[in-house]
Amino acid sequence: MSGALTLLLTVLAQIAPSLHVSASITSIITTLVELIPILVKEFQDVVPLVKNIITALRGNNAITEEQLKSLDDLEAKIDAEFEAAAAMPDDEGMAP
Amino acid sequence: MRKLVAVVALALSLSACANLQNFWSTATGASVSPTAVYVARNSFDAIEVTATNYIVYCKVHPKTTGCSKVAIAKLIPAVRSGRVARNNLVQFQKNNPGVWGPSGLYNALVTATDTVQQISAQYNISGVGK
Repeated sequence: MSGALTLLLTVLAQIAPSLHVSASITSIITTLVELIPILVKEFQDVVPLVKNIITALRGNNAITEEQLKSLDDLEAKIDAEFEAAAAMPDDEGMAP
Repeated sequence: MRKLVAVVALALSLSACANLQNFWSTATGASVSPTAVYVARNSFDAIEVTATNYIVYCKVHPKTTGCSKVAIAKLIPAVRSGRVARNNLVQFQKNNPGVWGPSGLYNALVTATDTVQQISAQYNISGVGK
């Protein structure tokens, strides 16, 4: 499921500038909303990010300063966790 | 299962639009709305989280089927490269509040997201540890 989700998110990023057709946006929002219960169960870490996307696509107003600040903070945490993972020692025995 | 099929179908149908969009952006040098940037940032961040989970899991459980040193070696620079692209776009927005972002910076982030996604798909990263 997550593989399909990452594919969807990648494509969403690609087409976001041209998302003006309400039917397309509605279809995307509906699919993302349906995914939330599955994500909560299996991929909880990405739920806030998917919810952010849903909120952005639903909203008629510009992204607020508060939303940007919140995303800045979340990204700082995500980046730190990635670097911590990258710095973990490589264990022997992993396949090439 | 039906939801998975729906996600894949939606992603594939949107892919066709994405190719046209990439062409349009490149050809016109158009700018990109703050909402689109916000969506792209969240998309990249979600994929970075997925990459982090894979790396942590595989370093703790290195003998798990699907864990690959090569995959990790590809993921780390790809995510860091995407982060640079994302941060450049964010910095532009901070320096130019309310101004639409340049498509060049936006496309760099989208390309980086696509690169990480392709590595994820190649090594079935999301399937490991589930």
